[in-house]
Amino acid sequence: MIERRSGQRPKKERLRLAEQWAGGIFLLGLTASLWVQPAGTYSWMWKGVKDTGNQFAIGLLDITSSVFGEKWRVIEGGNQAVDLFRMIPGDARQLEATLSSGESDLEFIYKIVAEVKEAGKPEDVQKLEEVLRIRIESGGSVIYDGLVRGLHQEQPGLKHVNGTEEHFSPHQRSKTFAITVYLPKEGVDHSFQALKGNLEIRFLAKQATLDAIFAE
Amino acid sequence: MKWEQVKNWPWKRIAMGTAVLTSIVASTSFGTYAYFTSQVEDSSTFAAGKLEISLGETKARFQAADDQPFLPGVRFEKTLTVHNQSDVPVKYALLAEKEGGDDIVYDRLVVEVRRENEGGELLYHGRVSQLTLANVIIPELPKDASDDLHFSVYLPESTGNEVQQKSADVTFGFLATQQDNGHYFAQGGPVMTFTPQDLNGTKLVETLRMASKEAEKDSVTGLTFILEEGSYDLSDMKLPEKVTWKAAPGKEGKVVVRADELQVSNAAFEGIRFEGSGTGLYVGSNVSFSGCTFDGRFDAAIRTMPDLSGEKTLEGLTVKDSTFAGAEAAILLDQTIKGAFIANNSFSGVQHAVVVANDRETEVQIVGNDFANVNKYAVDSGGVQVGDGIEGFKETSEENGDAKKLALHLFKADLYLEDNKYD
Repeated sequence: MIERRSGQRPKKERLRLAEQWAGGIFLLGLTASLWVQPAGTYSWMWKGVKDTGNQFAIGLLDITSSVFGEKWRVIEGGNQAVDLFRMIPGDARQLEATLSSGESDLEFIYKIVAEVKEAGKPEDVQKLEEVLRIRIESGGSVIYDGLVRGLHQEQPGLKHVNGTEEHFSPHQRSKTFAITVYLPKEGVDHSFQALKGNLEIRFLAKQATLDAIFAE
Repeated sequence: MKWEQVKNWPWKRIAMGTAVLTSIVASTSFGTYAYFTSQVEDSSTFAAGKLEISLGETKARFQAADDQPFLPGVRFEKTLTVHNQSDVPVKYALLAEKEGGDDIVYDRLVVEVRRENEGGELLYHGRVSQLTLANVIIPELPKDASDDLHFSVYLPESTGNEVQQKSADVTFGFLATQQDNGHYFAQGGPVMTFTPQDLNGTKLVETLRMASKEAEKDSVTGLTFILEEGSYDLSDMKLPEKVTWKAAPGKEGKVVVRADELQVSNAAFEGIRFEGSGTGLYVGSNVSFSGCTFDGRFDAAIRTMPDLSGEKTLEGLTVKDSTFAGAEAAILLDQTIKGAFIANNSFSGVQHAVVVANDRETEVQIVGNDFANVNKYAVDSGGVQVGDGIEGFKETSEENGDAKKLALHLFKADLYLEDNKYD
């Protein structure tokens, strides 16, 4: 057995001191690494080449300056107030809407969607949409004439075409649509009386690329 | 001195010696040796070799097919040629720098770099902002050889209106050095190598403290911590920003980081294996995982960092070329996050791969992943599930289209999926 000489530190203490020294040196090295300028830490030859001035700029697609007329005009239905809730079979109301490209500098594809929203009883919506029709005209031609529910926004992910989609160039500035909502003269019996609903009509636009989707 | 002393000098011997020395000196001076002689010379010149690369380009600017404007999903392309005019083979790094413009565009830009040869070998597919540290290295370009590299830059399809009327100016470049030099370029910033013993106890705390202090300096673009093989316990820690944590070359997957509720922001991880349980990593903005493995009984291997104010929008999560196994949710986005990019990962034995569960719009690009061994859904967002097409939505290809795609605009998320594998 080797006896410890008088004054010598115990092995455990020596190890601890050694560890402290090693730790100190490690941290000193770490500090030096962080302080020294990176480029000065290498002596290799290196050469760089650059391709500069690659600009990736995105344009603007903004149809928020589009407007819908403030008042519905009575086309059919006599002297009743312009109120969808009080329409009777054969009544027709018309609204003018203008799609505007505003400050857009990008071409886009637009579509028109419409939906009857709840205005009292939830069950009214579905029943109203069984008969409520909408006709959209622009530039003298009819773009859509059918049930409002045919213009519903679709579930996400499903590609759906409702016939109102069209390409729009910002050079066109604006396009006006006559939107007529009507109840057919036939097929609307007494069970449809007093049904209430709000009609929501919207323009949707998407960038004019193949895979783009409408925010539906 | 007296004459008597001089008179006694050995004059004869002095005269003889002088004659002999004169003869030797004369012989040396005129080289009139009578011997046959011959000589060879080893004249060593130490001249520094030339290290030179040059850049060629196919067109003056990045352009899309049919000259389309730069929109999400539209690829702007250009081929750059690197020519090695050095005296030696070189290796070179891809480099990108922001010259100007808006961070919101620059941080979202993705670039795909391929060799323009048969097969089009993929060299890099990821964010442009991850190319600033010269860490994507092409190991060999022989003397007098050229590489034609096709750059395709795009904004992910999931990008929203927030980038409208914004722009980014980018410089792409290459840095070359001798092939036999070490792994890291000076331009990548300070590189430090650690062993498990170095990152333990007080040394770990001190190291993280110093790195955090360093990261606060505006001049510092990034530090690289190289981890040698072994296990590192970083549980419950908040890691310093601007640090790339990288497995030592050849040790990818053998560097194990114990990650239970590890908090990270503005950091990158390459080739690290994360193990743990519960929530593995809480990620803030601009965190990147590349070639990592997540293995353990995680409730969520990667989860967005909770924001107590509820107003902060995170951005810029990148998860690519990584493997997930055994988690309940591999990637859980329960805070609003923009510009998440999840590409070329493999998910095996996880219940759900990507879960979007937050209240506001999140933008996630999910491309080229293998979801074939996911137990439930590849993507789950507020009841909309993307999987095998039976219980949810399915990627479809256009007529004559070669890639299957699915774009979803949901109440809580804009998702774009392309070329993922489900069965």
